[in-house]
Amino acid sequence: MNVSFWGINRHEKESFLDILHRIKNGDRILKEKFIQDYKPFIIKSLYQATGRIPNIESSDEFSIGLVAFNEAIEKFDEEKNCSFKSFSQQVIKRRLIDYKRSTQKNDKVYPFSYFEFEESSNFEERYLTTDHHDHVYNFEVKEEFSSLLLKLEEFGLSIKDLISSTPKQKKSKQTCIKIARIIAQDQALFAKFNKKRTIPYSKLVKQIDVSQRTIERNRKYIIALVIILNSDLDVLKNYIESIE
Amino acid sequence: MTQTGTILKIKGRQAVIFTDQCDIVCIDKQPGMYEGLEIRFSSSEIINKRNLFVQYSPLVGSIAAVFIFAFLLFNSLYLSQHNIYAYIEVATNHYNLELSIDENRKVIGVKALDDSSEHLITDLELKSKPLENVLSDVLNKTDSLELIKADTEFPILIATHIAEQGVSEIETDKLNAVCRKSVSNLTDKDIMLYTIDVTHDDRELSFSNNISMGRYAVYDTGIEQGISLTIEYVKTAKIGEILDKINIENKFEIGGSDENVLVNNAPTPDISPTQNTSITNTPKTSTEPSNTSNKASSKSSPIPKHTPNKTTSKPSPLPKHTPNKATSKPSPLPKPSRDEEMLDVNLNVKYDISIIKAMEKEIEKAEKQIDTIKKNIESNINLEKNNAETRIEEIYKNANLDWKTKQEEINRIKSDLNNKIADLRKNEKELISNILENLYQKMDQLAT
Repeated sequence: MNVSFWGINRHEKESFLDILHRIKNGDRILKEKFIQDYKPFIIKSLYQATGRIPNIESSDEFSIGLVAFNEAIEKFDEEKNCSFKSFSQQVIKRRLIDYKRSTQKNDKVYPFSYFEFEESSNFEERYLTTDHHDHVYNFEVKEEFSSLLLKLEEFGLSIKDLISSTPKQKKSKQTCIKIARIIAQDQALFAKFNKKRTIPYSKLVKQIDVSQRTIERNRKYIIALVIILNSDLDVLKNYIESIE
Repeated sequence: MTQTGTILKIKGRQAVIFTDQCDIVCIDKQPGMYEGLEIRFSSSEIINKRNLFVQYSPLVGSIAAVFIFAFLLFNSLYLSQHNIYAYIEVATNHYNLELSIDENRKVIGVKALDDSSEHLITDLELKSKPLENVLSDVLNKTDSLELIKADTEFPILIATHIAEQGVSEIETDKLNAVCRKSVSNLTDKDIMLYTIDVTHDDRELSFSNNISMGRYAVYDTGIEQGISLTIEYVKTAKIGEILDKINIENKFEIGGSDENVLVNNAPTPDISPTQNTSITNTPKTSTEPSNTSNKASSKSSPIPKHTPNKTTSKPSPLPKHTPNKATSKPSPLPKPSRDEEMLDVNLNVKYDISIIKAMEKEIEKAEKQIDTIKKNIESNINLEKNNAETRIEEIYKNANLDWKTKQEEINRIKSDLNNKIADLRKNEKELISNILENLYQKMDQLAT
């Protein structure tokens, strides 16, 4: 039993670790999104350390927070059995203390370039800028997914319906994929499918030996597969091909 | 087991993923996730209904257990002991008490409705005692305070209300009998006991008018008898004063020098034999039949309001509208112990038992006739209704008629039906009134 409430299980989830790995491997879009999602957390950590809410636009503290958070991403080690949140919070706190000590000790204001390392001169540039090409690709993919969901809605299906109607058995899934592929490839069938907004059973049985009950039971899933097979979502198409 | 999938949609705190196994699953959203991102995740991260159930079942189970335990505790400690079966209000000129009793007639609550009542019950242990004992204790305390002596004829109003709805009248009568029995123990005192049944509606209305249920029931009876009393007066006046003005159905004189009990329409004869009581012609009480209303038809009144002429013409309290009740009314009168002859306390007229039996037969006959008429009329009405429904259905199904014509036709059928029903009802009333008229004539003949 996976008991995750009351902090009993503090291990990071695999999907989270996968995201961290990708960021470490240089996925800039993901890093940008990740930091964006963590901004409230960074502000909260800074507030806990300084007692005041930092100005996101211009304060040094916020910049230090971002740098420290980036450092936490780079240095986080999942093997040490520590949650990423507490680790990054510690890093932010320590970097902030370091900054305060150095400014007090030398009684001088450090320019922002003090926190720079490596060759980049602008931290935003270093941490938050992304490849333009990646952004365009990302936008296109997002649009494809949006149109997929819209198309599903046209057939009266929601994501919730799909989650509950996915067949459990691999054989059933393969049968559904077979049916979906026939509909997607046959122009007449696909036209009827689009027009009637349902699976053209009478014409379909001429091409495949399948009971109406099987189609009815997996109707929603088959419709989703047909829509995917007729889209430009190559990743999903590859998944379908892999189990065919 | 690790799976790979592409995020289809971010929905709140969850991400919907199309997996490489062509499953569509839901996992918790992680920072950085966006639609179209291909991601690896563990099977344990998948959220489904079963998972949620398993995840929260210990929590839900423990909360449910706590509730069940609390309910059982409450049920066993509170409800079982405090299930109120009936409320008994005891009202005198000096105090007003409300007792709540359980099914075993044990007093489970005592409520003083005024300051003097509180003074009366301060040193009395009334809870968990049988109702009879509690009433006796209260009356003994009243006597010890010399309150009974203060009034020439100490009036006590006992109002009973059975909390559970749909309880038969027999239960209420039993309860009244218990109250009478308790009061009648004080045979050496001059007490006038009135009992009244309080309906559920009357009790509700008494709350909304901020008046005790007994007083409200008396006020209600007054209104039915056409006696105009204000609710403020009934609220504040001495109960004796009010009861002098209103005829209460069940009225008993207890104790006094004659040591007798006078019964007006008492439905439970279980007390009289044990208490050496007899029906006498003492002028203090008498029945006065009246046909003004259902309730009033069985009301009684003290002798000053007695009208012998009227009663001789209609000797039994025959209700015009309630023949069922009427059949039971003559029964308390005959006691064949005196050579099948009986002295009517109210009318000073001797009746032969055979006359009473003849009257009963006539009433029964009339009842049967009325029942038959009612049944016939009802079946006729149902027949008319069915015919109308069939015709309406036919109109609905008729494709040749437009919507407006259909509506007009249906309205016409409905109005025809209403007229027919009204005619039938009128006919029913006429027939019944004829039967009753005949009955009254026969009664008069028998009485004279």
